[in-house]
Amino acid sequence: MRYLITTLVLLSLFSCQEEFIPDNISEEPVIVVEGFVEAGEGTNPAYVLITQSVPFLSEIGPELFQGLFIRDVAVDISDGNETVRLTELCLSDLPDEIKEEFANQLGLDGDSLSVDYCIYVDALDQLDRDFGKTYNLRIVVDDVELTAETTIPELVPIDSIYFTEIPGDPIDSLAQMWVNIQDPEGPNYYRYFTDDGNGVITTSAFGSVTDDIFFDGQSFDFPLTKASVRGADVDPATFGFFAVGDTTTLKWCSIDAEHYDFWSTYEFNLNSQGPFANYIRVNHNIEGGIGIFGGLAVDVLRPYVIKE
Amino acid sequence: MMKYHLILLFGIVLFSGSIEAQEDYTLSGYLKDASSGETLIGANIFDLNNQALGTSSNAYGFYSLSLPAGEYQLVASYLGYNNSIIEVLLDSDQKLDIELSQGVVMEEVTITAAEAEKDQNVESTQMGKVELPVESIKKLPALLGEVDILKTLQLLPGVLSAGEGGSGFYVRGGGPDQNLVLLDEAVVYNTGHLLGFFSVFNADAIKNTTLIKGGMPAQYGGRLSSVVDVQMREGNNKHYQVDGGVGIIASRLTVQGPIQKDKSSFLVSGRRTYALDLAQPFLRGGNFEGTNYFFYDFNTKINFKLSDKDRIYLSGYFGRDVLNFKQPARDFFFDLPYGNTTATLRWNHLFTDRLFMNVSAIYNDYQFAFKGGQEDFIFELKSAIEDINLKVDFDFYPNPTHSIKYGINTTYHTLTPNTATAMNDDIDFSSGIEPKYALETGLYVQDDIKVNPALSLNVGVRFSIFNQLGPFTSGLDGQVYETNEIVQTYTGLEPRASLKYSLGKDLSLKAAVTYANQYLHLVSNSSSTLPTDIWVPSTEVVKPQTGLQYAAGIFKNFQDAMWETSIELYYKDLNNQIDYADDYVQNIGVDEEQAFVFGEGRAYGAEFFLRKNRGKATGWVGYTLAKTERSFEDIEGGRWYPAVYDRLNDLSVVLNYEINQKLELGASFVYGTGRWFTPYESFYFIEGNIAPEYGPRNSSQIEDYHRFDVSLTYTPKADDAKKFKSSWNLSFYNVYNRKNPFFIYYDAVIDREIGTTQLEAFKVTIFPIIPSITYNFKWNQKAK
Repeated sequence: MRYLITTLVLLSLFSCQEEFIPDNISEEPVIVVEGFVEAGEGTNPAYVLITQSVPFLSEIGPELFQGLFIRDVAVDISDGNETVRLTELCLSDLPDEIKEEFANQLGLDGDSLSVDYCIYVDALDQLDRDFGKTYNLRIVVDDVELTAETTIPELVPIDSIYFTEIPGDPIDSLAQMWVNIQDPEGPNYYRYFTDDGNGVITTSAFGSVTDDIFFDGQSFDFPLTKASVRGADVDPATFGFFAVGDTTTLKWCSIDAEHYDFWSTYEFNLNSQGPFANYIRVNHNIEGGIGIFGGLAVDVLRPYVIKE
Repeated sequence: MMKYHLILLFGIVLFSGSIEAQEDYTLSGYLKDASSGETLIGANIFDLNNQALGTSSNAYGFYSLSLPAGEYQLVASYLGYNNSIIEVLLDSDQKLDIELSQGVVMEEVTITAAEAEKDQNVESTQMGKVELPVESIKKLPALLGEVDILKTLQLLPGVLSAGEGGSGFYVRGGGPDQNLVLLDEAVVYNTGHLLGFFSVFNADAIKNTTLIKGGMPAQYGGRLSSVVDVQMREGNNKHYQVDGGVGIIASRLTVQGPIQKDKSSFLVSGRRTYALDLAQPFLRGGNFEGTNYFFYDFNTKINFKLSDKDRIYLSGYFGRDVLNFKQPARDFFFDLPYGNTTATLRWNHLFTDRLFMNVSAIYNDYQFAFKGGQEDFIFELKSAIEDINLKVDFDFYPNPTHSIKYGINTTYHTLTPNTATAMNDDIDFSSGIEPKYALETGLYVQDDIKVNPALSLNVGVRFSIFNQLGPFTSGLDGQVYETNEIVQTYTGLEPRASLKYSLGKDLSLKAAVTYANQYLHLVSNSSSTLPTDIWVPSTEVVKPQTGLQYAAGIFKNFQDAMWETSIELYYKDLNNQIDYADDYVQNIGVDEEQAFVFGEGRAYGAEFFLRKNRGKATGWVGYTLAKTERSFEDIEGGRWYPAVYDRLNDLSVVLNYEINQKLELGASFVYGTGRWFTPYESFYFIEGNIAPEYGPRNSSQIEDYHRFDVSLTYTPKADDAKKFKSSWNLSFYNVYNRKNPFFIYYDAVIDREIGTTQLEAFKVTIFPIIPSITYNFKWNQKAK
């Protein structure tokens, strides 16, 4: 809303812009963790990416990006009973025919394949991944110990999914996705991913998480937006709609409060720009570093897009 | 009559220790503008031969001067008006209304001799008080030709602009919510139109503006930093008058005149913008057909003189910003109306020539609403603050050495936070956030005491009581409170004192200390205030803000007050300051106070002021050297960091020059140290996307701000006695086209060909050089 108002004001007042060079800020790199434990049918084994942050004014090319991955460290995930050490795996270790599939599962687009992504993964899928369980992450990088905890909540599944005419002037080839859930009483948090149209399962630039403040304990229908690459040009006339006749993927997840808090602050931070922007710090849940270690209760649906 | 005695007794008992019994006679009445009959606020009347014997008119133009029997040459003076000398043989109580005229010599008793000039800034006990008659504001250059009272205040030392082109302001390191802005005694909670680029005060309807930035008298309460007391015109009670103007974004029209000559009058004034109305033909058939934005103001006032002792005033204001956004192709829309309403009913009564009473019943509200949707989905968001206020004030002038004010003021607040509802087909959802209620009461007494010709004191105390009332459910222990049941009570004893010591006719030293409580708060984590920001009351979670300010200054005039100079120093301690937590994400389903953090603030500075009051060239230079810091335990462990509105250097130069009778030049130059902001310090990757990380709060500054504005006012027949007069005002904002940053934003610049990504910062400038032209006219039934 603020964005729209701002835009109107600026349009009407002949604004202009120039590059601004802030004071040179030197910042020691911080270790960044991105790890997930999923439960539900057809979900991925647990995995963790470990990288480091870079100073604001850095220009990141493929070589520098490659250098951000922190390699050869011990990564353990425990479910309270059993501790599993993850195995480091890089794209270059994989046969070409499964590289793309692997990248898609991580939500990476085609360009990313030029970088040798390295992750730590529960290669033998030893971890007991289940709803209602709590997991602890421990990473040791040199002398630094990083820890985190997350819970996979009970899954609140999609009750029904359907497609309708898009709002406003109809376009035959596009449809709006709607879902219904039966939200249980008490606080619940959700995140979702869809196919971006190129086989990549990722999130929408509009935001990927919600709480249930507005529909706590109710049966609720709401529209979902098709995933898109953040920062890519969008056509407002077609943005977020699904192509009629395609089979798409919806990955619907229940997450815990801390996991929601990370994405909520992260997305608010990214979307909060402009003269009246709010200043906000991301709520990381990694002790000793930044990033997110999150559990997801996953419901995957593969609907055929046809309007009701 | 019994009541009067009780009131008088109350006053006398309270101050009996300092009042000497003596045989005085009282001269009292009203100070007025000769052409319109408008009362003059803060005008002076004093003994020509002993300036210490004098007083000034109150907010209703009333004065009362008790002197020993004798013959006096009294001078009545007011900024921008010719002085008037009145020979008085005071051998009994007398009533005398005095009319002052602007510009030209009118009456035999009028003189312009310099020796009659009053060194008001040197003589007054009050510190940090500035009166700005609206006529002096109208002569300055204005953005897009819209004369703006609040932007003129920003040109004074100690007052900072909230941002490029904005009418919001900060006073001596205080937050934007720490300014008490009153329109005919009604609180105006949001003073900005168009995101604050223009203020809600239509200059044509305004008579006088008083800014008090230090040494706040006890009659004002509820804010820590300043008072901006705006008084509407009463209406010409001698003859009909029409004023208006046509500018490039808005037009104005004001009609005023007598209902019954010299006894009652009315004023009706309106202003509306039309910039986007004119663009409607170009939007037709496009993606945004039906989109429009405008704002308007409507002021009205009537007053009746019921008798020599009783007057009634009824005034009101209604203003709205209206934004309608439409995207027909997607069936998407939102409407965003917001604005203030005020209504004030006042009764002035004179019990005696020495005891003046005003009773006011005041209503004011600020409403914000957003309604948007697409097809069957409708979302609404509302917030509001509404006050019902009753107050009684007494001005008691027992003798020339005492001027006493006392009174009581009680306000019932209803504060509606962001209440959201959503509808989808026939299903309704609500955020469930309930309004909060409070009763705020203040009792005060203050005395302006002339101890001897050199020393005067102003001492006062205010006792404030704030009750949060039900219905309310405690977020701490779940206790349920019924309607009007007391949830939480806060009280405060707020002493204020100032003193002046004269070191000669035109030199004085002053000092002041002010303690104040503030029970309502506006919390904003953006760099400026917005119509969406909401006011919250003190509750079981939110404690009252408190502020203690010390100020000291030296005041010196030259050449019979043609030149005024002053240096003022201040130090301010602020407690229970409120901000949002670092990780605050606006969530309309959660009570905002759960996201607050509490801390403290401190501000100190030096203000230098030089003003030229008379001659073809008038104007001032104001310079402030200041520091403003804040500390919150929950923000970086309590590190003291500069406030967004900390500005080390702030300079304003203002000039009016009368080239000839037809042509007048106005110019202003402002310079300020660059604003603080919180920069991105580093970035990282998450899910393949760039994620920036902020550095320490307010640890970087944008470029310094400076701007030069100039205006020319051409009045073709300035000396003409015709009923209809007009003038053209040509204004240039930002003459040398300085690209002052309005805000900084970041973008990831991705070069897919070579596979590089970099975060870059950009500064956006919104106001280049902006010329504007305004046509103003005035029709007066009986021209001079």
